[in-house]
Amino acid sequence: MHCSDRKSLAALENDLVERFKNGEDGSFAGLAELYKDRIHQFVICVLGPDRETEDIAQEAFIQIYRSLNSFRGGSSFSTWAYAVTRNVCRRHLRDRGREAGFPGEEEEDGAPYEVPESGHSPEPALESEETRALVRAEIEALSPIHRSVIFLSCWERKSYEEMAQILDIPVGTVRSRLHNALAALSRRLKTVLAEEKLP
Amino acid sequence: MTCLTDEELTAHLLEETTPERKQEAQEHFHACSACRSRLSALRFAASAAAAVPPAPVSGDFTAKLMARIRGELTDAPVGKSVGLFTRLTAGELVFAACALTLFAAVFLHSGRGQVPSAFKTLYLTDGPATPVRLAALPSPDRLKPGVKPGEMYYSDSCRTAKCGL
Repeated sequence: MHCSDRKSLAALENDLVERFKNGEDGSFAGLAELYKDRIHQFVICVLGPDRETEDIAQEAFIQIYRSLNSFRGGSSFSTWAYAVTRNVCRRHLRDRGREAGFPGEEEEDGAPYEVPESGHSPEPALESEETRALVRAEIEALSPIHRSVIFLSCWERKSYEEMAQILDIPVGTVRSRLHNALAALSRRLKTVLAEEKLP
Repeated sequence: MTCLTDEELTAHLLEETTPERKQEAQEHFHACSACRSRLSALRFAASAAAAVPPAPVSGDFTAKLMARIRGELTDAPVGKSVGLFTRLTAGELVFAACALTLFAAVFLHSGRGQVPSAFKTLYLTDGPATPVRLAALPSPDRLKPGVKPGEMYYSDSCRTAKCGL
């Protein structure tokens, strides 16, 4: 997503939030349209691909709907919405009896990951659907901790501070986790792209 | 400048560093091929991840969501007040009301609450407490002065207690 797109998106979502707070309930459908894929993707990052992810994303939106009037604008709407979604995912993990590996938990993700020496061209060709599917599969193979920080940083362009707020972890933890996540993805991609011999 | 740590490298990539540190790192990359290579590998991973858009949800996601919201939250003034009662369903509220009524009834009849006609007199009978004895009214000559039969409580007999009392 380009920077100008993000600015116009932020203006649009602020407008929709204001309209909702002024009693225009229908504006929530606009927010849902803007965020449905992204909230759903975040749920997938946290819980893994699952048949229930759309239902859980809907639960997250219902929680956002219920709490939106308490949103004071201290952070961006998306940061707040992802934090709400994190809580919904955490509740689901608790219900399933497995919270280990939740991106907000304090557990460390092991020893620092070593970055492989680059064998790629500086501007990799990622336009083809085939390559994207391959990258998507490699991201899905990462741990929930790594998937979440990669999504928030690389796709959402969230700052360290915002990621810490969303995942409810210290900024220092975000730093190390993000490095380890990128190093792990880099290593996987290096292997798989070498095998596939993609452009 | 020495080689960048892992976290410094990532911070440089994501521009989470000060302009001074950024400048120092740039100068270091010119001189250090190892750090340049590490940065390049991280940059590749980041750009690959950024090129993959979120997985799309089904086409009727928003319509289903709004229908759920209308269905679940019509009765509750959503957003105006989010309290306990807005979170409970009608069935849960009925159950809570019944439980409260039952509790109140048990409380009052257990003697902790106010009972209009409290037991005032303990009447001890001779011999063991049989159903016949407990059901039978005592003879008037055994009533204490001023005690009315309706105010009496029939209890098990206790010769020792009777004597003691």
